[in-house]
Amino acid sequence: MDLFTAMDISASGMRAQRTRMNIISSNIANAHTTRTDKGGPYQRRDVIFKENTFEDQLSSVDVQDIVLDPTPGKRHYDPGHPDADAEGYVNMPNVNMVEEMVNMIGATQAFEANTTAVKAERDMALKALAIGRI
Amino acid sequence: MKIELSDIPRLTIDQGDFGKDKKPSTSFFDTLKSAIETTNTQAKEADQAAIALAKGENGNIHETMIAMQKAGIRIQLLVAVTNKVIEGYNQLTQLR
Repeated sequence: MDLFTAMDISASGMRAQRTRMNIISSNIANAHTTRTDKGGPYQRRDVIFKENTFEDQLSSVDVQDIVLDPTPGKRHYDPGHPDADAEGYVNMPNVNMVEEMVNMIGATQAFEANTTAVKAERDMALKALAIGRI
Repeated sequence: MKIELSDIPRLTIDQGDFGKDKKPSTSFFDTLKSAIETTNTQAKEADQAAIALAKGENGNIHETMIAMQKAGIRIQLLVAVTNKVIEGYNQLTQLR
């Protein structure tokens, strides 16, 4: 348990939230993507966080996996679209913009919480140093 | 509810080997030297992170900032320790 362990833990939290933010921007950017390498429309992605215990009772957070959301997307009627099926429907990505916005606020807030923790840790270290200055 | 004085947990300090007549395994100046080395590495790390961020090689803003904060605190700690050492030395030289 070092002076800076708490900072490293907060850094892992920020890293995790940044990954989450990257995934959310990927979802938003691809909200209307109908073509992928695998075929079919873009599938919404989600991050899975996992605790990483590195010392007794101390754990940072790791991004364990990025998973695809299996829920079916909307079917949009647009017979002129090159990706329309025989009935004239286009399979759209299963991205819900409102949900992504809410997740984005969550990620921003969680990131901010971690920066606040870093600031508090820094202030504590500086307060401890102030003991030496009489 | 009546609270007995004995119910209140007391802060105990584990003194360990402190104050016992025991020679330290490393000298104070070795400890100071290793502290200076740690501070130096941390400062270098912060420097490299800042350069990498400026060059666009590393997009980790928060890690760079944390590295810089760490280096800053380490340097302040080292300065505090060296100031104390110099103060002690000055007190010794003024013995008469």
